Amino acid sequence: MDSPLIELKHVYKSYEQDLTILEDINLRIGKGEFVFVNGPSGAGKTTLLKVMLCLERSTKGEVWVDGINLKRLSNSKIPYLRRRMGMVFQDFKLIENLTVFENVALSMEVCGIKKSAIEQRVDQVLKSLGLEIKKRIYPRRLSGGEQQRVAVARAVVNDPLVLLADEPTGNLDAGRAADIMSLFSEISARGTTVIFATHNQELIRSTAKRVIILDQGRIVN
Amino acid sequence: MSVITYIIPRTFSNMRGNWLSHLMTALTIAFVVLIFGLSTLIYFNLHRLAENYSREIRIVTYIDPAFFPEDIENLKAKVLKLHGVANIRHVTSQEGYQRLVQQFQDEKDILTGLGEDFLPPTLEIEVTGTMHNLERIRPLVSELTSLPGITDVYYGKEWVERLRQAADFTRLITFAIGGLLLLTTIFVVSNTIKLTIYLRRNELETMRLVGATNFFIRGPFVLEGILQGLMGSGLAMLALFALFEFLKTQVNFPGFIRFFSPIFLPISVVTGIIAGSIILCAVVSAFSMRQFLRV
Ligand SMILES: Nc1ncnc2c1ncn2[C@@H]1O[C@H](COP(=O)(O)OP(=O)(O)OP(=O)(O)O)[C@@H](O)[C@H]1O
Ligand SMILES: [Mg+2]
Repeated sequence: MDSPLIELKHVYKSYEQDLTILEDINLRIGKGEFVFVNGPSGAGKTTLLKVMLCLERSTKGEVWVDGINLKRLSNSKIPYLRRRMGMVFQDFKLIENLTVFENVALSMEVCGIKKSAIEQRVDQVLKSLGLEIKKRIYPRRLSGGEQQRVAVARAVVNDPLVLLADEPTGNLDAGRAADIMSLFSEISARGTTVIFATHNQELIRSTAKRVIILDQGRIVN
Repeated sequence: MSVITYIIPRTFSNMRGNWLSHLMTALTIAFVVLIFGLSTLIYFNLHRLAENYSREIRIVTYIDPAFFPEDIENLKAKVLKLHGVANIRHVTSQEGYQRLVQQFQDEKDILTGLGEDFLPPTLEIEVTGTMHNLERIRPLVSELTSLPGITDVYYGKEWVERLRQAADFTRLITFAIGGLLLLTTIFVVSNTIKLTIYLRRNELETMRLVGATNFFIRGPFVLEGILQGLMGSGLAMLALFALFEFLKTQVNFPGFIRFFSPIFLPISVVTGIIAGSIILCAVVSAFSMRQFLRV
């Protein structure tokens, strides 16, 4: 792998002076690669993904995404980076007063994509996640697993360069989890880099993918 | 593109979701703009009135009754030479008396017992166009006063000056109300926007997460401010016009301005007030958003 899509060099993150959440993280992830991030609760998995999406800035070290040094990225450019990255949030972050369809469409609307193109693409993604009949429903009337799938739909709808998935199968039964896994594998085969944070060992063992193990903010493997 | 498909629908849905506070905001803006407009209207008309009056400034000099006609002719020649004098008319005691009789047509009794020559003779002096200004007229008045034979000079200065003072005072009040308008609008609009932001904080946060630009996030709020400014000030101008038309039929103006008919603010001032309100509301909205636009 000569020029990685994502590269972290000696990255540190702390919110308070003495409490280090991420410590000396060094990583190289290539285009189209599928990587698990594993580790116990509180290890720093979510924080690592947030640093990549520039939701949090690293305290020290360099984070590169697709040739961009995030430290040098001005606030006004951040939206354009995020449009090329999809993230499935651990707590979904769906908008209560928008329907399933509107929630997913939002990712495309912010890019200024035409309405007709949005409708077609959103319908297609909802269908692939078994959500087409829930399209007009508001998130609070969905089960946890359904909400999670909406969050996945929103993250993949733009065909992102990088997909950051934070426990995207946490609320799903084995069957649904396998569906998501195969969706992600497919996406990654088409060139999207997938970074999949989970503490589900079984899921990781069922595939033969690269695993990064975090513990107390350090990479331990 | 996104302005039509996203920002406009979003604005209306924001406003629907929080309509009561938007209504209150628009009404508050309307109220303050109405007061401001009223004050501007009063200033505007007082100013016009003062202008009209100074345009009609006429100097009346009272002549020593013991003067002979040829002395008066002499005096007239001297006065005509003074700077700023356009024309002179000599009004004798008898002419003055006849004028009074005409003015008091029905109440002629008032004049019984007063001889035809109880009024002193006067010179009515018309001034040239450039003299329609109190500052310029004062030197002329003092020259006239120093002429022998002139006992008194009257030029309606009290009225004109009082009108001027009233106009200046209302202008001051208008500025003060303008300042109040500024503060109230800033306070009320930013509070409404902040309430909307608070109600929609999760949504705004999520929009940032999926890559919305600040323009995109801010758009609906700025448009909301524009609509509030437009509704509030438009309503205020309508109310002011109605109030003006109503008062015109109700108020009896005192005699000295009976022939002055007040007019409404010119369209340029009305447009200015509305445009100013819109700009103010838009700017305040944009600013209240600032703290939420951090990354
Ligand atoms: N905003 C914050 N301020 C302070 N500390 C934080 C903040 N966010 C996270 N932390 C701390 O960082 C540590 C790592 O959190 P993180 O969410 O990255 O863990 P995680 O590996 O995703 O855990 P889980 O598997 O439970 O989701 C935790 O100890 C947490 O308390
Ligand atoms: Mg986490």
